[in-house]
Amino acid sequence: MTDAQKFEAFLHNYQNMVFSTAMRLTANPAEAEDITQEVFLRAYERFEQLQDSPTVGGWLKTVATNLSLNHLSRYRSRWSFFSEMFRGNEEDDSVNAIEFPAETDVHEELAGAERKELVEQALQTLPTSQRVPLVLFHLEGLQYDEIAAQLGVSMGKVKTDIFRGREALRRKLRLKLAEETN
Amino acid sequence: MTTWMRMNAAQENELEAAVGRELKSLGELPAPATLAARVMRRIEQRNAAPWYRRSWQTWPMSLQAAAVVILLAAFAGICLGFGGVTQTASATLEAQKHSAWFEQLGVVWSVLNALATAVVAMANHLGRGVIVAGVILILAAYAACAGMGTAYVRFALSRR
Repeated sequence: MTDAQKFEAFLHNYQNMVFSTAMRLTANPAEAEDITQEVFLRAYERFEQLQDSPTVGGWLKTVATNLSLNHLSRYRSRWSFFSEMFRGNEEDDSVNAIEFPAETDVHEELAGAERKELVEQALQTLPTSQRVPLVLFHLEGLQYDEIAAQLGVSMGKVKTDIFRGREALRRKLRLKLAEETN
Repeated sequence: MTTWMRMNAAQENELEAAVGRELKSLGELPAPATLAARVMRRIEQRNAAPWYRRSWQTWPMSLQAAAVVILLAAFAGICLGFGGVTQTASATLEAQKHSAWFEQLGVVWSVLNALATAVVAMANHLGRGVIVAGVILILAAYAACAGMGTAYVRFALSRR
């Protein structure tokens, strides 16, 4: 097996993981594809060290996350992203006011694949300022302080945005909480 | 029908767990079918480029070492040459006698020397305060350009 063939096999093994990370952060397939390509071009330059490394998945995810965040802050929504961030602190009084959904629980009605598609769509329609910290917390496993450091905002802002993101998802998905019935 | 209420800590925890479950159940998205071919094509293009058009890190080890030696030698040469010329102007004059190439170099050197002397004389004449004020003015103009550019971008984007 030549080096090129080895790298192609490596690429096929990890491309979905890298693309998913970029896609969930950017919510844009074309941008996610560009970022995924850049991640693998960087991986190719270090392929000798990476191919046998047990932490290769973590390395790829970290690079994909960093490139996606750089992309978001530099290009597409440079101003709107940060203006949303600074606007967020003004509404603390209403932060816990939640709209509870109608009786129907869509969660129960949908089959697995269909439900996943619905969740994916709901996630991708969240505003960037809510989606990014939500993905970093739940899918990338970062803590609040790590997210705040990555995004360059306060921890309170991160908590508020994650809370709002969860609430928005709950409304979109009509998730029911056990507490709600009490 | 919808109702409004406040969420308590237990509900918040439950919501966190519920959303976490939903998101973790998503699994991986399939990458576009063209992605692998696109990446491999880019890699082939990079590999096909001659070594001097690639990044330094990808050069062969021997060329990397040679490049470091040449750069160090060039740096040392410039430092020594500059020091030698400034310390002994006669060295340049001596060189002018020996070859036409050194003659041309001597002309260039004398022009540069005259320019440097003029700049130093002007700086002495103007005084430190004027020079500092000039530097501050240039920095302020640069900051104003950056500020106006930023304001323009924000204005243009806000109108979309």
